[in-house]
Order: sequence, then structure tokens, then C-alpha cells
Amino acid sequence: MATYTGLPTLLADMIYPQRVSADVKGSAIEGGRNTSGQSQSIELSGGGLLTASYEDCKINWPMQYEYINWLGARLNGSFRFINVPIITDFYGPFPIINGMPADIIKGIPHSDRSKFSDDTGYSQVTVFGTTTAAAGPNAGIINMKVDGLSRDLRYSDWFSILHPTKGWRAYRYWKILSKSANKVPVYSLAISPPLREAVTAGTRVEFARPRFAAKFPSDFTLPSVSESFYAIQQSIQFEEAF
Amino acid sequence: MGWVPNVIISAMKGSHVLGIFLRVETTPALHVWFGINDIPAGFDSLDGDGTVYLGAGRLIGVPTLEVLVNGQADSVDFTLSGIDPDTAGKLLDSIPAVRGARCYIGITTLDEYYQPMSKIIPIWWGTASHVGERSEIVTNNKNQSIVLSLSVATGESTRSRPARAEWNDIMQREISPDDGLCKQISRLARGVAPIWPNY
Repeated sequence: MATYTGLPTLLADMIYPQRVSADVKGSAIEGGRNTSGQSQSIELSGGGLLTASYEDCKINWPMQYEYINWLGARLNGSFRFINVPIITDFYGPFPIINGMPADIIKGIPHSDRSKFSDDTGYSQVTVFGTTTAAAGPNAGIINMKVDGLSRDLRYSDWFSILHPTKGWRAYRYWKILSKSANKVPVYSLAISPPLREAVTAGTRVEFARPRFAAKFPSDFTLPSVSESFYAIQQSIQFEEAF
Repeated sequence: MGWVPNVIISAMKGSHVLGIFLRVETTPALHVWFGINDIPAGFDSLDGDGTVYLGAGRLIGVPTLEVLVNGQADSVDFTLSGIDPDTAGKLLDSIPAVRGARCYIGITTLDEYYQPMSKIIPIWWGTASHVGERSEIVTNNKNQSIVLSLSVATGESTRSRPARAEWNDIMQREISPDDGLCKQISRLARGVAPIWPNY
């Protein structure tokens, strides 16, 4: 039995990816054609499969090499999983702090303004949601209130939910069905892909670095590479774990 | 309203999301569908409320469905790839019991919020014959992948009567010996255009 909970999270900032893409892949087949040759399409996967790729990760330091080696050791064979973050820092609904959108505030000191001995502080997310109604498995609509928004939810944003057995799963909305007038607005959102597991009311919804349980696609492995001058680039592919 | 409800027919006139469901009557029954995540759905009067069909990867070889529905084949192999260990385990664990179990195939369309638009519409049934497990030999650093198949048979491959929607003269005369309703079928099936008698 595959376990999707309690997974480590990919250290996205450590492997210096040049480009991170996240995509939902469906499997549509062609239906009948009309006389001008256009066809309708039939989607068979019922929502599609989430994939992500971390392209051209700049691997320079021994620790990064170690980390890449660990990724290969853990994930090759596509049967062990890892949580993969989707990088939405730049366009998510986050407040602007010091000229940059801030999804997570770091370096929060103790009440006496001192920090930890290694000069780090507490960290806290700026935006998070809470579901206001229960939703069943495969639900296409969820209701949630969202705290800390710097703008309305309007076109689409990624977010993720920690399910009790399916672990972290990421979703995005494609339509706003309704928005309440409260100070902390309650949204009714049509989501894609559909919910992987039922949620109860009061479940936390994470907007900062949404993540999903992932494995390597079955035709992908991550080699451990060493090159002259020790500056290599590696691309890593992920797909949603099932 | 016909066998297929009108809303489903109008949905199928354009691009749509189609769900194909397979129900194998083992104990407990195995419910899989050819989508990715688990979906609550059910055959009318077969599945109780709250039945969840397990997402079982993607169907390979959709054209076989056409062969089934038009009654051109007596058996068919359903192949699934990308099966999660849970489903594969459940299917393989039930090999002794799966033989002879009745299998139902049904379809329905999903609306834009991924919800089934009706109860599952049954379109074919057969008898499970045997399961197969195929794993291609791979070279280099490619990974193994497993393809599971289930052969489902009807008609001549089994000892039961064929479940084909066809009539012929012999079958009709077994029911009613002096009824000539079906005696022209073998001619008509060859495409002979009968000449209207000129009295």
C-alpha cells in the first residue's frame, strides 16, 4: 500500500531551478469528424494528472550534489514519493513586503526581539484558506474563506490541501462561482483537477508554495552526475503520485 | 427518454468528458473506472449509494468498445496501465474468485465540475474469464511498467447463450415453431434487396 502522507518536501530553493513548470495533463481522444475535418474531443481521464518539472537545476555545491544523489536514491523506480512545491511566489495573492511578494514571512523574532541562536526566527504564511463546507471525493466545487489576501481571487491560483490518506494534493480554480461580502470573504470555487479525497469543513488550505505528492514518471530516472569544474545542470520531472 | 438520457446525448454531441466504468461482480464487487482519481458513481439497482469507483489509470485500446457494442466480438481484453498498487493488489488477490464473475461495462458523461451526469448507463456485460499480467522487458535504465488485463467473454466462448442482440430464424422458431417472421434475415443480412411482388 502506497503511503502519501509524512513525505519530505522537495527543497526547491536549494536546487536552483532555472525554470519550474506545473501542468495538468489530461488524456483526450478524438471523437467524430465533421465534413471540414474538425473533430470534437473526448476527455477520458476525468480531470487529468498533475505534473511538474524542475528544469536546468544549477548544481554547484557539494551539498546540492548530495541532495540530487538523495533524490535519485529515493525516487528512482517511481514508487517512492516526495512533496513537490509549485512556485507561485510571484503571482499568488500575496502582500508586497520590501518590494517583493511575500508568501512566507521569515525571521520573526521572539517577544523580547531575540532570535534563535543561528540567527533565524519563526516563519509564518501570509495567505491561507479554510474550507467552510465539507466536500466529497471527486467534488468539483469547494467553499472556503481566505485570510490575508492582497487581492481578490479572480482568474486562477494554485493551492493545496493536506488530505488524511492521499497526502498533499494541489488544485487550482477555474471559475469563481460566488464571493461573500464579509471582511474575510468566503469563496465558492470550481476547481480543477477534482478533489482527490473528501474534505471536512475547517480544513486548512495552503496558498504559500502549494505542493503535491509526486513521483518520477515511469520513464524518468535521475542520474548522479559529476563533471569537470563541478557545475552541472539537471532537469527533474515529477508526476502526481497514485 | 431512451436508454441513454437526452442530456447525455446532447453532451456527447460536443466535446465532453466521458467516464467508462467497469464493475466486476466478485465479493466484494470491484469497481474501477478508466479515469485518474476515485469517483462516486453507480449502476442503477446494482450499486448502493456511496459506491466509489477506483481510478485505475487509462484505458488502452478504446476501439474495442465499438467492437463490443456492435456485437462483432465474443470476448475482449480490458487493459489497464498505470495502476496504483491498491487497485492492482485488489484485482490480483481476487484471481480465483474473478473467474466466472459477471462484468458490466457502462458509460456516462461528466459535467464541467467532473460530476457524473446520470447513473452509469450499462452498455454491455460478459463473463470474466482470466486475468493477465504483462510486463515488457526493458533495457538500460528504463523502468518496468505493469499492464494488467482481464479477458471477458460472452457467447460461444462460454457455455451460456450468447448475449448478442441478434435474431435469426432458428432462434425464433424455437420460441414459436410456425412463426416465419425472421426467415428472411439471412438474405437481408447479405444485403439482398428483395423485389416487391407485382400482383
